[in-house]
Amino acid sequence: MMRLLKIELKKVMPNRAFKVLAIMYIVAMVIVSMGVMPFFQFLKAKFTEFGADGIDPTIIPFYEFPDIWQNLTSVMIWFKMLLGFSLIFSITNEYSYRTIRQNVIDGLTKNEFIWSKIIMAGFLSAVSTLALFVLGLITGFIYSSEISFALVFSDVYFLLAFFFQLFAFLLFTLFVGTLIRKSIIAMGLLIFWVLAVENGFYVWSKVKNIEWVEYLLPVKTINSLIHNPFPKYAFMEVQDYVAWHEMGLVILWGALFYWATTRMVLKRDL
Amino acid sequence: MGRLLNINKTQKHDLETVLSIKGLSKQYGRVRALDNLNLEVKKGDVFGILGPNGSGKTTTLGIILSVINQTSGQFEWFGEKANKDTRKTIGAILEHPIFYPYLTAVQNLKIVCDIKEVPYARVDEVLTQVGLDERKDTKFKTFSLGMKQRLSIASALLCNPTVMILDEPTNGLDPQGIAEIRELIIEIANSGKTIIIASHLLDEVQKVCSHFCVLQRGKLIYNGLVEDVGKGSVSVEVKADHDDLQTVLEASGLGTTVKRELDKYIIKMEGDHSAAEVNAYLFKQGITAKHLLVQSKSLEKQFLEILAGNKEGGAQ
Repeated sequence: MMRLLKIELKKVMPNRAFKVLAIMYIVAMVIVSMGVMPFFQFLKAKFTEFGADGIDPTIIPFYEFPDIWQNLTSVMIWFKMLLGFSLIFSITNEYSYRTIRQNVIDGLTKNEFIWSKIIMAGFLSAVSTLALFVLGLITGFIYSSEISFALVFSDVYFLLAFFFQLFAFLLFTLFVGTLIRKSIIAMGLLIFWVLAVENGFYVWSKVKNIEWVEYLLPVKTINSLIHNPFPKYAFMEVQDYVAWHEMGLVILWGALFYWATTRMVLKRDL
Repeated sequence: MGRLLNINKTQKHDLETVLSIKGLSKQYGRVRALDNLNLEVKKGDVFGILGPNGSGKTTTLGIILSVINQTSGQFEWFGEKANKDTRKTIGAILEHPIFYPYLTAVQNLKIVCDIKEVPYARVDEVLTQVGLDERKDTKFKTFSLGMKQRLSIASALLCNPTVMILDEPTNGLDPQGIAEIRELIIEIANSGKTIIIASHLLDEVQKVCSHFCVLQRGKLIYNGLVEDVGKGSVSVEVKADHDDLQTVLEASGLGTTVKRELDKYIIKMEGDHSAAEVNAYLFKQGITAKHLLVQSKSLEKQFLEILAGNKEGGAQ
């Protein structure tokens, strides 16, 4: 496994597209985990300027334990597309440069090839989960009014859910990249699928009031693993935990994409 | 075909068989790219696979390297079915050189080291061997075709392979590049490695190979030794100052046919008659030959004859 990760990192790290996407992702993560409070303070100052003293967004405990974990993960998951693109690049490049063929000729089995990509997806998910954990701890300690072991770690399992969200989504992009093999078309299809197809079906299912349609949409299923926590600050009821059946569905989708990707690569001539 | 396949029977020793292909076929939709191919390559052979474009050379190499799934048939490396470690001991280059364009020569070769599980120390050794050490930290995409080709040979040499597979190794190179690559191949062959070369450049195969086979439309139509090429009937080129040399030569009874090519005549000799007899005969007729040359048959001629013969006789 370390051998495959080593190979994959050697391929990907010097790549400019990967570097740019990774930097964008890191910047996004820092902004999300550090920048929301300063923004609220800026808003408060603006409101005071216009004489609306009553509105104070800084009272929202965005960065306070234990709320911070659900807040951070549910915002950070919006940026998963950046990692998805980098993975699509890495897989479609292998096809357009035909290096997948040369890799197999050199002695990698087709299975090892797919696993090197899956391990990379797992690696990216694990690293961003870990980074979010560290950043969350730092900002949590800065902004929390009350700190205790129980408060800090009680909702930390949202990070595990975040890891599964990312990993399942990256398996989905791996599948799209393997299916299409052309980077631009694959990225186009990914955006089209997420924005138009899934949203279209989603809205349609809401209008028709058919609950189960949502579970047939992989990205919607992945997204809704961590529910949007923000309505609770307007005193609305939200699901502030990770439901087992939703987790099961995400894992099921991930397994399905793994199976489909492997089958495609094994069946195809390179 | 049975007669053609028996050449290696004298040196039969199963341990020495590097590659054996049995009844290999590949179907692309309705096209049969490879039709029931049988081949054996022994240790130390420099084996040339000849054939016109689209005859199934690359398909064959793709299948034995596990990048193309065969429709039916089997192949064995070193007497056993290909497993995950087989290709790590084979150095192979198919078609044009394939590397990551945004990586340097060294970075590219290190990836191959990881794949083949070879120490990185080999990288510098092979780069020196192919004469690329000066450009080792330059990106692959800036390389000229000749340098790319040399890098892929370096990559194939990384694992110190027992078998090398080359597909059109001099394709697209300038004459100097061709000479360099050929030199390298001969060097590698002299070190006792088994080499399999697919090519449509007959001259190349004749210069470096010990064995060759010919494929046509996916079928094996010839399999034999390169040194056997040129055995059999001999042709003699004659030039002389005489108005009707054609008739004189035809009347000699030494050759089966006499053909004119510009200012010279070519006699295809009959039986054991030699060029000396032609000279003696002309002298007796009072003609002095000013040019007399025995043409040894080139692989190119043999190849074209095999292909032509096959077209008439059907693939047998």
